Amino acid sequence: MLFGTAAVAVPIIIHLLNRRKFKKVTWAAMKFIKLSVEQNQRRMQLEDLLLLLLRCALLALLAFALARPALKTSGTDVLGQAKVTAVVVLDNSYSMDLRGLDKKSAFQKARAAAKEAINAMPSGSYASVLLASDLVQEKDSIISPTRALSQAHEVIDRAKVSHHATDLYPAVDRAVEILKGRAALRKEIYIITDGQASGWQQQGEIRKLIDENRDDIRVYILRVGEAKPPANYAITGLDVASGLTPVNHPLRFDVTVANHAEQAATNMIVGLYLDDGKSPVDKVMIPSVKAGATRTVPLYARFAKVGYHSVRASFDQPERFDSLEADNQNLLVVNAVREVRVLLVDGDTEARDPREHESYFLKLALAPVADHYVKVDTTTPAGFARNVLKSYAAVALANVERLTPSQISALKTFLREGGGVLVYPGDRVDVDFYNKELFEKHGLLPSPWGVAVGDATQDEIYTLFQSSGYEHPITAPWNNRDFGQLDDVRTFRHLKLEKQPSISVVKEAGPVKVVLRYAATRDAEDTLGAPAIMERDWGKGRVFQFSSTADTAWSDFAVFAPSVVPVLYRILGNVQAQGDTGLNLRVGDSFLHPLAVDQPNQQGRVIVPGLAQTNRISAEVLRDRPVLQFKDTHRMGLYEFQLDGEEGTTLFAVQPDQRESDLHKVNDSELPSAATIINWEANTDLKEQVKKARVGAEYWLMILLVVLAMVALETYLAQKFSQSK
Amino acid sequence: MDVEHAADLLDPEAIARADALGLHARYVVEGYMAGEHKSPYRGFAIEFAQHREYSPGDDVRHIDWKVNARTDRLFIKQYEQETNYVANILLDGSESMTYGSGQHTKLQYGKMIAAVLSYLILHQRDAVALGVFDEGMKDYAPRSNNRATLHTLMARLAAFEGDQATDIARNLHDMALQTRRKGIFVLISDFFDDEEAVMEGIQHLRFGGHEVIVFHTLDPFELEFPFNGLVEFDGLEKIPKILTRPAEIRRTYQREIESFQRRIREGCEKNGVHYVRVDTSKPLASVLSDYLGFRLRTAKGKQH
Repeated sequence: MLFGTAAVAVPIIIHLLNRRKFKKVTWAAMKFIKLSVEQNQRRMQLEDLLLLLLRCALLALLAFALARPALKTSGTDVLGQAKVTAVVVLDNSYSMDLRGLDKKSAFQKARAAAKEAINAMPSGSYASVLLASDLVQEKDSIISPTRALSQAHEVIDRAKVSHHATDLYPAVDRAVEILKGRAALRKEIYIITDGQASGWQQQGEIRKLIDENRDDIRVYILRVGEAKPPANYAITGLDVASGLTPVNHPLRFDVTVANHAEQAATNMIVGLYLDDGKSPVDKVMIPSVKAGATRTVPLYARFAKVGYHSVRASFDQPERFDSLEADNQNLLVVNAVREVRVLLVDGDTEARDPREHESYFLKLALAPVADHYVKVDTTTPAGFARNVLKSYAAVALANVERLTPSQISALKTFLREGGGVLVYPGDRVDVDFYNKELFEKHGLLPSPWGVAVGDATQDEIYTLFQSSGYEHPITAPWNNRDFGQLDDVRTFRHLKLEKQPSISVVKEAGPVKVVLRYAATRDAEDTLGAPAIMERDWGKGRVFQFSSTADTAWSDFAVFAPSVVPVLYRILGNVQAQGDTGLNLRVGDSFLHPLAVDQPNQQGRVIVPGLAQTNRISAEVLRDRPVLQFKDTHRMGLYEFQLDGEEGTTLFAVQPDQRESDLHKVNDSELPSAATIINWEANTDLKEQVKKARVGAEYWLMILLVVLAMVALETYLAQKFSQSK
Repeated sequence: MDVEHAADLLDPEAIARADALGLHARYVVEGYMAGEHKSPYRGFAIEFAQHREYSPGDDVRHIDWKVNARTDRLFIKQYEQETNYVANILLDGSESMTYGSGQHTKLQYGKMIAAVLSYLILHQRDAVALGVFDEGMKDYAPRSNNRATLHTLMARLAAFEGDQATDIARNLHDMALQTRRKGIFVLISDFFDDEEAVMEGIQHLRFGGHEVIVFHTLDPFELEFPFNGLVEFDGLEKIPKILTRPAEIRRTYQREIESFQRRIREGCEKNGVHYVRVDTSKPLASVLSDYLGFRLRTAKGKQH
């Protein structure tokens, strides 16, 4: 504005410059010019002054108009200039699919409300439409406000409920950001939602955002759908308890059922379905689940064929329970194998009694009976070589002092091809060698081994594993106490693993994760305990590093069958399925298929459930490693993935976020007080309600009209003044 | 052929310029005579003829009976006895006369008038005296009726270049005092001077019994003032500069110059002076033939 006002100087400068630009005429009849000038002097000066003032005023007004002056207090529409720029945040999380008594879904009502909000805007207004769940679905939204309100209508008409959970903060944040970048006087945000409490989990942040901009942006929360949440039951968990999935063996699947209703649920029947099977392979009736509680029940199945299978847990006759479909079933994809071969490299086999050998208990834990689907071979460090490794799924190094370069090379080849390596410490291990060669040089270990903690010669002082907060998919089932517990294993001595080891310079070395931790010490600043088991992807394979021994020398983990067996099996299962997290995703997570370094141009395709469309994906580099990535997992269900040039398909399952199953509504009092809350019904007169708040008017068009009139006047006067007098 | 053109052909000497001027004068006069077959020489001869009121003792044969018939008064025609009149041609050679928007400056145009008249008069065997003045008399050729002096006259005219301010009145007074013999005074000027003083000068001449003819010479731009935009007028004769937008004062200017001409004309008429307004954009031949034609017509029935 100030810079614009400087333009006032322009006509003055032009005037002064013009005075230096004139024709020269040698003239005789000066007397008459002098006489004429004297007679016209006053008038000419006046005319000059008038034109100069007019031009200056003209530019000053123009600068003023460009600054878009507005009067907040004005309630009238001056020349229809009180236009609105609005962002409509349309909640399309899957809870919006819930049908009310009138058989209409909340989303249908939300769409009607969104259209009415747009219809209530004065003509010439601008609108954005954001489809919002826990993210803004940009592809189907209008991000930059458009004047074509019919386009906004089309987007709303096309909008579909997603399988995402709700978290409105990202959308509100985005809406505020969009409006902040606009020069409009009247800015509005319409949040159209069913008011599910989980959507407002960041309500503190949302409130802050709305409060900070309350002078500038008016926020309306349009609540649609049933005021009281109907009963909703959900299958919130499905997991293979055993970890490994061999064929022709009965496998236990743990199914977790949640009751989000206000009364206890009784006689719920849950069935387990395999692949495309229409009838359940197992069924269980749950007599009762208390209001707000969850229940985990075991169901059994058996795979007849090797390969990828989908497992589905589903309510029997779900329509009997509730009208929210998405959470009435749960999917799991597993890779069934005929047998799992493991090679144990034992670094301490000198004792005569095999029970003294380092790998004795490990072997026992992995293959408790002779004819087991886990086949275990044992060898000495000198006895393993590249060609031997090929037939195994995993190799465990137990208290092996050091490795020869050819053995390291063999391990790397093995990992590149997708094998699993388990590394245990012990009194024979050359810690420096491991740290230097395997950690630093080759990036094989997730962490260097640190100082030894504890004394193995006594059994009074020990460390326990963490009792809760298991973050890795391998240990995640222990978050449910029904599954069992890990926190009664005593570890007397361990080598310290780094909590956050530095990123390896080796290209094939992947990110490091903690599988299991020790319980946090009381005096520790960090609430997380020290790592007990860590893992790292390496090539297409994975390395697991333990902090304590494979035998009972430092820990009694090896003999604690209820803990050690499922942990080891789940580790083997994890290796086998190339990480089962990769096959079982949450809505919105990316599907990643790691590629070998020599496959940078590999392509693949993904078939999306329900849409029967094939999406091609090309290799890209993620954290320095080539991968195939598929991001468009906004719909729940079973996806098929095929690598070009390979025959078999891989399955992966996409599950909605379980939080969304809890349909509890947020109270009006919990919503941001600066927002206007409207319980929208089909007969709500939204226009009347928002109109009252639409104060303020812009004057730029009016000023522009005045400027135009002044331009006309200036032209007329300049013409008139320059006429002969 | 015009003066400049002729000058270019005969280049570049003053004599050549004079020849050109003389040539042009002859061209104009003969052109005029060609148009007026009947009594071609008579223009100024008749102009020279005087009617004097009859006084006892005059020869009654010289009474102009036609005049007597119209006016009931007796006038004597005197031309036969007094043919040798002296025409004093006075050309304003001040700096203001050097202005010209077109082909000729006013001075050049004035020179041509002077040249043509000299040629005409000398060919009638009357005498011509030619003076070019500004603040004072700058170049004066005493009267002569010898046609051979024509070339000298032309040379002097052509050589003159005006660069001084003007004082018309002073020159007229001087001439009135110096010239005893009655004659004709032809005054060629733009009259950018003190108008009242100029009129007094003219009156002085008239009191001396001279006939006065005024050629008020103005450039068409001085009449129309057709300039646009911002213009700085640099005054001739050392008048300070004026910066103005001419369009905005054009009407006033035209009004002023109009009334200036009117004042000069009325002043002339009041004193019995022939006033001829000369627009330098008009062909000299038509200006002179119009005037001479007018003179012829008025002279035939003129009564003094």
